[in-house]
Amino acid sequence: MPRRRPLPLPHHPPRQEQPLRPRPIRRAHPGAVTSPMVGTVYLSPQPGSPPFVRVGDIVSAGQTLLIIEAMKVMNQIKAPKGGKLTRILTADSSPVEFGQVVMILE
Amino acid sequence: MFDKVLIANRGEIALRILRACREMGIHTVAVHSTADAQAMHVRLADESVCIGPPSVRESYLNIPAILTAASITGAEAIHPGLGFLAENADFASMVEEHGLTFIGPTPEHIRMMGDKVIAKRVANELGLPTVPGSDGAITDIEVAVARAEEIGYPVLIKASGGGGGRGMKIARNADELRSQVPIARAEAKAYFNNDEVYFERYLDKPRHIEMQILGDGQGGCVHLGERGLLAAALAPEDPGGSALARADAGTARAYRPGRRRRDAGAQVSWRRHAGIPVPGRAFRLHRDEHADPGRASGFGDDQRRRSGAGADPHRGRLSSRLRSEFDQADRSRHRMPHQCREPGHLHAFARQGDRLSRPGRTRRAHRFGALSGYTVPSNYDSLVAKLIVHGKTRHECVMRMKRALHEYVIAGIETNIPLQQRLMEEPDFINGDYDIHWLERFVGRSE
Repeated sequence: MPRRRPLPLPHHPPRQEQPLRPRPIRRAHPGAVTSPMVGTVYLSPQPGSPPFVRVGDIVSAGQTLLIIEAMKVMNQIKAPKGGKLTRILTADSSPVEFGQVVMILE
Repeated sequence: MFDKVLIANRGEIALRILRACREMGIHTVAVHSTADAQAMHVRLADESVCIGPPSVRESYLNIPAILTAASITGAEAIHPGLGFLAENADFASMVEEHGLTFIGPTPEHIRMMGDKVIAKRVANELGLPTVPGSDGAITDIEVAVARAEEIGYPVLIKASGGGGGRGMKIARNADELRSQVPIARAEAKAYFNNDEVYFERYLDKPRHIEMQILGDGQGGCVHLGERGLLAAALAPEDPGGSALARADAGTARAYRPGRRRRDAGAQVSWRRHAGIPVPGRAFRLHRDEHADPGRASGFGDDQRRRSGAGADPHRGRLSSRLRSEFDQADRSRHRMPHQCREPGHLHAFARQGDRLSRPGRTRRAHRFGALSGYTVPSNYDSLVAKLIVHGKTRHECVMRMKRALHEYVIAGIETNIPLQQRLMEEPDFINGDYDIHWLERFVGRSE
């Protein structure tokens, strides 16, 4: 009988923190503003300054809604159309993926 | 060792890397396009990030998106799999610049092997036999003509930065050489942004044979025997050598999988090993489970000993790529008699009794990229599964492959199983009597 070597313990205990899921909302909403890239969301132009927009604001087409930072480049995301901002579905400094709905304009 | 690895690939390849990572206790991040949101490699990963629309250029080749995905998920390393960005030296160096580890060869090695003129010179310097040709790139056409007279026509003009058969021209005499070189140069410039061309003796009936070489980045290096390919695109792979299933994929930093191709007297080029599950089992090669946990795992001594000839050379393997068949412009060369016109929706792997109807268990391996309900996307490789059988002889492999193909049931989509079955009946195939053009002729004949 060959002698069995003891199995080493795994190097990494399972991690406890929440993964990125639950999946972000992808439902087609007529007023959905989606992220055109992977990156990190910033809701205000500078840390500590007031946000670009708040829920309830009336925004016009082309107005900056938020910034998505990717590879140290700050990309301003502009409103595709005018309307009332009814929901913000992301938080400051949180990651977003391509196609994720970040805001809803009605 | 790493805690979290981002897998910049899709399908069966991503899945294989993911499984190896999981078995090593490494967390995985899948990146995917919108078309792959429901794919298996996305479902099984610990985290996933959608990086772009279906087009490959905007998703799996989108370097900024992939690097950003790594940074927002906190991955420490990126495994490019093969294809896509696996041989992109710029990507490899950008990954390193971002403080991440590129799991694969160094950017310098990628550049060296990606340039065929340099690769050939390095091989010559090491004393390896190569196909005779112009020594280095063609600079003076008259020197080239003189050299071609010396080695004999026909010669094949090739692009230094080339690949995939593009920009190759055959010259049968001095006049043709003179007229074809500028054309080849222009094509090379257009395709590869590098107008350097060279020539070598044209091999009339080459066979495609590969050797897998695997280094652990710590001085350990093994080779996994040889294998032949019937034809690159729809290749049922020939018995012969095999390549690991796991070592490459899993062992994060340590392994440097590369693959070198040598034709009849060696034309050197390399690829990250392509679709080769023909299992590591052949050589019982796997990560060294008992390596000192403090260091990145490398090959154990016993694995090095198993390398090459020491490793059960009499066992053969045969692998078939089962793919969905649909008409796609860039695959027109490989159209099958059985095709459906659009990307298929795989409804179910039919059941026999209670089991999924995959072939019986004897000595076969099975790599599965699809699951029931999966839609075979039109943007990517149509590979659905790979079937690998083992046997002591070629005959045994072929008979076993026939049996396994017979038992295989895939419903909802047309697959190339009928073609694979006919192949297994072909005397040329059974006898191993084929070159790289054989399959094309065979498909042409049956249509």
